[in-house]
Amino acid sequence: MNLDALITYTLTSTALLQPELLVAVGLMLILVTDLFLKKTVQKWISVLFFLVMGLALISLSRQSEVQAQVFSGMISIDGYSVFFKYLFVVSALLAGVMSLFSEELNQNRRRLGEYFIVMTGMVLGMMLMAGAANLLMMFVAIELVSLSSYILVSYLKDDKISNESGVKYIIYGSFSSGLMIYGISLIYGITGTLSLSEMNAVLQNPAATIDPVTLTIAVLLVLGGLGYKVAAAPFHFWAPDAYQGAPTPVAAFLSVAPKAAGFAMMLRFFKTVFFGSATQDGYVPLASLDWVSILAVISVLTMTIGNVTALWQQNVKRMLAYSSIAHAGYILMGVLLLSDSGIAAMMFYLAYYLIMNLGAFYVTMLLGDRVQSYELDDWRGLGFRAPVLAVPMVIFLASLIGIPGTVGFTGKFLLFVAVLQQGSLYFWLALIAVANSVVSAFYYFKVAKILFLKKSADPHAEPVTAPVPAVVLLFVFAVPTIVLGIWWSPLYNWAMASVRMITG
Amino acid sequence: MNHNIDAVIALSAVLFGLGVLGVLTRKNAITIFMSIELMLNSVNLSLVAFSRLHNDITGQMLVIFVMAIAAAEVAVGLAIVISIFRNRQTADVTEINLLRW
Amino acid sequence: MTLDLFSYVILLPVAGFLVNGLLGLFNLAGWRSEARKPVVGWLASAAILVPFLILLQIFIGMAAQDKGFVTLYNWLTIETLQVNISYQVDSLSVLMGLMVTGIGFLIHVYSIGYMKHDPGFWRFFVYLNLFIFSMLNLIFADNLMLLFLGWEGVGLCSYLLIGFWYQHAFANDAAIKAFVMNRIGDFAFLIGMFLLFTSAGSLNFDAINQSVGALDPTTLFLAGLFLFIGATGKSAQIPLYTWLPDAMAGPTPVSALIHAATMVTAGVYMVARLSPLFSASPELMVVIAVIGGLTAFLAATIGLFQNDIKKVLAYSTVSQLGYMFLAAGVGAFPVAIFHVFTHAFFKACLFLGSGSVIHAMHEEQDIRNMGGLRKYLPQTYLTFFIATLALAGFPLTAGFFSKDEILFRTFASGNYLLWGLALFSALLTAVYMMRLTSLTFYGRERFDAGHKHPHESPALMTLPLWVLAAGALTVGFLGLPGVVSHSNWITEWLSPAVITAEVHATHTTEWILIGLGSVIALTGLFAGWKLYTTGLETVTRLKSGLSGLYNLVYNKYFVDELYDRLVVGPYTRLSESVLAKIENRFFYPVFGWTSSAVSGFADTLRYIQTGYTPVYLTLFIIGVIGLISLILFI
Repeated sequence: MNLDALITYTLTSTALLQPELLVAVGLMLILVTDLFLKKTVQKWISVLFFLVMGLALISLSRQSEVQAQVFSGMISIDGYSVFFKYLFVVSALLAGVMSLFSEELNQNRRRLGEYFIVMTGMVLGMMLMAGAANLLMMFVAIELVSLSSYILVSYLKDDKISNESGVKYIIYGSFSSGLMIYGISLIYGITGTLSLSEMNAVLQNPAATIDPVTLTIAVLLVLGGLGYKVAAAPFHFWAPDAYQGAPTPVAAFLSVAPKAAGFAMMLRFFKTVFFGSATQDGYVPLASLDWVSILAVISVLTMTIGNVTALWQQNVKRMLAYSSIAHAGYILMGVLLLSDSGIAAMMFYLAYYLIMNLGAFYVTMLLGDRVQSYELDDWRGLGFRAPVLAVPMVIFLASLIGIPGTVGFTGKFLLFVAVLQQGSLYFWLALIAVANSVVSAFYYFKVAKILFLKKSADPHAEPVTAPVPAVVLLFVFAVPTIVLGIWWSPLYNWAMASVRMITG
Repeated sequence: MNHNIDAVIALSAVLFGLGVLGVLTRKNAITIFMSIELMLNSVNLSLVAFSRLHNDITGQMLVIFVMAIAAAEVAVGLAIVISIFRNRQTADVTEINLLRW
Repeated sequence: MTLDLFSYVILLPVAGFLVNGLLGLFNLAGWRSEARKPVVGWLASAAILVPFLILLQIFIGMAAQDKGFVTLYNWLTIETLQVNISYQVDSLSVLMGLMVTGIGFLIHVYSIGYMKHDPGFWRFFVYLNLFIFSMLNLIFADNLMLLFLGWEGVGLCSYLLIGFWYQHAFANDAAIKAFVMNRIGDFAFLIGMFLLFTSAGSLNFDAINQSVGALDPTTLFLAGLFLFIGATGKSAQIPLYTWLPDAMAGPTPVSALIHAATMVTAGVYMVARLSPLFSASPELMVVIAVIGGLTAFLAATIGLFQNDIKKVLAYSTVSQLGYMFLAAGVGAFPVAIFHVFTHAFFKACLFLGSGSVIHAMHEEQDIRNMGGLRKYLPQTYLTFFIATLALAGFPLTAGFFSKDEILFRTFASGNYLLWGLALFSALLTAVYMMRLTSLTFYGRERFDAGHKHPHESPALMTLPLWVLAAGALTVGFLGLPGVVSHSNWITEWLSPAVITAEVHATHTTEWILIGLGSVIALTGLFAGWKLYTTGLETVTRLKSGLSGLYNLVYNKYFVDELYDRLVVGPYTRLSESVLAKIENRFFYPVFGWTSSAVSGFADTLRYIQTGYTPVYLTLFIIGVIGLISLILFI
């Protein structure tokens, strides 16, 4: 390739990658603005952030028809990644607005610029994660997201708890990325390439001799890194501690967006590398690697540990952290099936999980800020002091349980159907998942019970209210939770259409 | 040629193992970060070796990225350790456990 | 048959729910104020009356074999699986729908009077409308999925209404108990649904019922069994019945509507809807019949010694539901529905009557503190008495026809033991119902008559009572026994939708059985009246003579305590120990082998989240290594 051709290629790639570049430029713009114009435009930093995200949304709509591999096959642009990029940008927008109402964050108003810079960086990282088609890109993207999350989690510099969760998170995260990169180096050693599609070609080549033991070890090390990102057992230990210590909007954001990014990447990795062409009802595995049962074990472990441990949590944030671990377990069922309907169900689940979980965290934040506590004991009878906040909370909890009429039910149902369609082989998996969702009803339900059925300790406590814009945002979460439960097919069809467009 | 590769890979594995051991056994957060550096550098070693074996440049490219990321990780890590040290006068990870169960 | 208006049957209750709910939630237009109460109440009632009239119109214009489908919305389409919000209008669903909306309307009207002074008035009607909506979904669903939606919906409403007076701890506890028991049932129901979906490939009733012949008998049995376990939760059968008596903590109209006439019969309805499936597995039918017969007997004995007016009625409901399952179990599905139908009238009447009594006695529910109310509450007394006769099976009342038909069919099917049990339960039924009536309305006043002045309820409450009492007297003629008339209307009406087993018995046998049933009912009624008006000393003597047995029954066979020991205890222990501090970990007593296995599991789980980063990392490594060895060595 001569220089001219190279320049043309790079320019074409750049043009196709518009949303990512927009976010990257926005990141620098916010950084520079915050650095040099801090005193004058401090208030407007957040507006700049929303502007960048809004523009990214618009340019994403123009990317949705594209089907390409850019930058020497580093990044894939396809319907699948665009679906996820929408999720990231939307959740960043919502979490950004949420942050404006957070008291924890506003105590450090002067530093809010940093907050949005790091948030933008994280969005960029996640967008790259969704598209990464090369181990190098995967590693860089995942690290960009991780580094941003470490900073966000320990954002409250003077808070011991926030510090502690930051330290634990970064040690855990760096360690797992160390293991992951070791796995990547082994894969590179075996196959001689970092590109996922070339790896697939090597594995498909019958002449190639590949040591299955080394391959297993390497893949599992990479899986560990990905499992850490989505908080799947036994790689989930950081999650409860990090979520509890993080500022609530950050915890909310962490529980949905990077998790979705992790799943997006995990699926692309496994599907591209280890599977041949798609057939009618699934995909043909290449290597003798039985990673379906591995993922099944992880899925069962994750949902069970998440739900059982959540049962007696007294801190709402921590409970929601365990709950998000449990949900990762359900979502993993969709990954391991590797059927179109399984992937679509997973994507659907991630999309609405974003709304309902952000909503649950949002109410938690509003209530927690107002009563200065996240302990369930201090929330007794709060439902009657703050009906406007507590009623949507019940909606979110109902949806998290999966009560019919809410989107949580539809999502679980789609997932179960996808599992059952794979035949009776997976019947037990669906059974365990249903049993788990029954268990989960108990702790979600406990929150509703404390809010509405318990007497508050102080009978003359003041009513609790929130500013009108904050309540409006609440309905932005609550209304789709109900509406999507009934009128869900557009979202599902979109997910299904995106699945069919995955490219290597 | 092959013989040399084996030796390099073995060395990298041993270094990696030492790094892991260090992370698991050390109490001081700074030392833990140093051990993580050891892990990453052992990976760099093996990457370079594989790159040579396959006569392929991408492995060495990855090494550059790993080095850059390792630096960023340590920078962020140290910043967090400093802020916790300010608040608690300790960098001992076994003493940092307000959050549990 | 025209179904143009059918969609309003479903939509109007939900419209009522939304209008009252939204206006009430935000207290718009003074919706929670005293002045708006009649508007709220009548609006909600109208939202039920109009569907009733529409259904009546459909009913009049249809023939028994007519069957129509109305699809409102294509809800789920996942490749081969299609689940629509689609309704099936046939003889069975129309009959049930008429019953639910008709009785529902009467109870709405009654509630306008009953709940007049309650500050949560609007909330009550919102829940009621939501309940009717869910119930109609359950009844008219043309697939298991939509039925399950309604099933969950009525469960939710039941939970909300049992805990309606959330200020009382016992109401909350009862609500949660009901919720949990129903969740257990729902879990089984889901498994059954999964099994059917994987084997039959569809969730549509028609498709399932047609594919029954092609199914593997074991799958069939298991699927049916799990569905039936789901039904035992909803319809309060052994072993999941204990929530129903506690559910009486809710307002009385709720007990009448949900916990007597409609929701609890959902299980029977589901069994009838899938009658080809259930009857294809003889083992399953035996299970159903035995559970039904045992429940009928057990609950009847407990009802004999309860002192709370509503608890007696609750156990009686459990017992009557047992009869319905018994009928289903011996293959007489239409008879089961017939009993559902008659039972709805007299039991709703009894509950509403008891509400009237409680109202008049200023929230007193203990029948030991009543007596002689006949002269204070003449209308309540008369209607209550009529309904008692109907429930006891007094000849020519509604209960007489349906219950005797169940007894006859049980006998004809050759299950003589179950027949004997059911016959004895019928005797007990007559006794405890007459005991209830006697203690409440006859004898002398056992309360401070100078202080308390019981007064008859307003017309808004007595009018529904009279309508229901009239029904309790007459609806039995819809299902005349074969010896009297050649056309048993209800069986013929249901025959296109519900299958029924062949009957082999002579007319003589049937006459003898009818006579026996009448004698039993009359004996029981007389004994109850005699013992509990003039013979109270005899009762006391009997009690002390048989104190062991009496205590056992009086304490409801200690089933609640048994469940506490066997299920609730270990469960609490499991979840607590997951979190318990390390100090407590030797504290837990070993509780059988299951429990030690469980605590071993919990031990590991508890240690996991220690808060120590190195431990987390070590577990990470162990996890990776564990997975590697799993994949390499297994």
